[in-house]
Amino acid sequence: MDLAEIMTRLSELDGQTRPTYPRMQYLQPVGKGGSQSFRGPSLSGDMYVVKCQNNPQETHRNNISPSNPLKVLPSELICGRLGQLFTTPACPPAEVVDIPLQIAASTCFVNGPSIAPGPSVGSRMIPGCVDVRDSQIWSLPVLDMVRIVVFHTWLRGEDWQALATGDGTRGYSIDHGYFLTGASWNLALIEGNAPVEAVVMSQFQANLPKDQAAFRGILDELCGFSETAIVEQFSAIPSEWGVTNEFAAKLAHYVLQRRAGVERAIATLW
Amino acid sequence: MQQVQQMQHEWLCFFSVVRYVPDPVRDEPRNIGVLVLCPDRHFGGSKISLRRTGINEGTSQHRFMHSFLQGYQSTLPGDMNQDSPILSSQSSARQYLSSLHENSANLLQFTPPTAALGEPSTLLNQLYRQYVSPRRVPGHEREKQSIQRAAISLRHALIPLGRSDWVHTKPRVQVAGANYHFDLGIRDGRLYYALDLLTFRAQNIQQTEQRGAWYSHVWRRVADETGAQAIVLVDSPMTRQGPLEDHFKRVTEWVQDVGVQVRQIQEIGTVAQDIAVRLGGEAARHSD
Repeated sequence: MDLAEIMTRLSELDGQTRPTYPRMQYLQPVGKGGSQSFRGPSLSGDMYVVKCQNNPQETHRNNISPSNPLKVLPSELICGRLGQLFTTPACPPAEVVDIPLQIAASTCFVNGPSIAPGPSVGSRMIPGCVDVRDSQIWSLPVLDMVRIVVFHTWLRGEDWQALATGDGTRGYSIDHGYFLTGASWNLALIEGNAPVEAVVMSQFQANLPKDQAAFRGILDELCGFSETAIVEQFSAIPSEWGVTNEFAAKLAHYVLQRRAGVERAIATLW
Repeated sequence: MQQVQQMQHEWLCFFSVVRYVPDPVRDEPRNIGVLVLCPDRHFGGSKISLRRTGINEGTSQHRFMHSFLQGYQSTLPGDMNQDSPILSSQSSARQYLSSLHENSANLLQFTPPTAALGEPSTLLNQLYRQYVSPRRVPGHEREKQSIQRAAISLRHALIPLGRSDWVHTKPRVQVAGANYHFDLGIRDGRLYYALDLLTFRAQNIQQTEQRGAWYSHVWRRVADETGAQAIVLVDSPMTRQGPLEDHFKRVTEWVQDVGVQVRQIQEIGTVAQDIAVRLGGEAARHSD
């Protein structure tokens, strides 16, 4: 699909009725990471890890523009959606959640201001997991490692983190705020044709399979996603985040182009 | 501009989780209760479970903690007290919980206040279930735990005889070249007792019937060969009528027909003492 076709498709999707965003019942601070996430249930009982519009990693919330919308929330949402395309998801599902005004006014960042109300990004919480930080040695089922490496390579993972289930049988990529183009949007990267480089979490390196055959299945899966399915994950992004259809279309085009370079990038690992 | 719609049963509340921290240095808190304040509904409520502290009932510590917590609860506004200053505004409610959090750093602690939407008494129950109520354990885990508890009771009862190591979980008993497995066995080479747990819950009734049928088929052979006795510990159906009760009667009749004792799992303490008495008596006879 070229840029014009993507824009057309996104415009069509724009016209469709949107479901109501889940409303958060309450939120409590989680961890001490840069984006200062919160955790809590929606009013319908699903547990989320939520990032707010005014999280500390959004550096220009009061100064967003069509070429420079919020960075962390759209990246989290898009990557969280794309991760669900894999048969075994690469990450927890992400969706837009609503923080009611009353909750926002009474919930603060740690030693900081109140959180912003309105549409935010929520990742479904996966209970019973441990956080894996970059410096730890960690081995997982091979397929999970391979899937995460392919996912990170495809979506230009940066400042990556992961969760492992308490029994070590599953791994999930989390924290995708800096994916796609880093800490801020980089139009040159989005509109250019830079080569794709392999992204491998350091704790995988000792246990990564020694040949490309182990990656074949996941690479085939990635190539099997229809372009339409990929493009659709760039629709229905809240207008409050400043992402225009044009910007979303450029981002979708960038991600489609990157897909073509993943296999070559993976081959450079050996 | 965001439109705020007040949904039915969505009031702004504040809650804190009450924690018991037996050793504030080790800092291993146990959630024992929840406080919820809702100025808009003039509601101030709490649900606290002293049992969750693990403090033995009847001790002075238990009595003190009970009266101390009652003191906290009596200062809460309650849903009929519309004049309490704690409920005069959102900020005063939040400030009250903040001060509890900041000023309690020892055995009893309170989490920082969290704002939440909901009908306050419903929210109180929801949060109590979420933070305090024991987690529901899946059926097979519950059985495993019951077997382990039974093993502990048996070992405890056999300590005075110096035979607590005679209690084995999942023993394999060989009779005429065939292997038979039971949940618990009391043996020192020779099998004295075989015990099994049968639970009568709707989700595992077929399994229980199969186990009961197996017993009725094999037990006489095992008993003739080993001279052992068998006891089936039953976890009776919750309702004593209907199809589950029919299953219960049928299975227990099968096993009793082949000489297996049927006892309630709740009686394990008595069962263990009876076994200890009998084994003690046997030991005395052998030494005569």
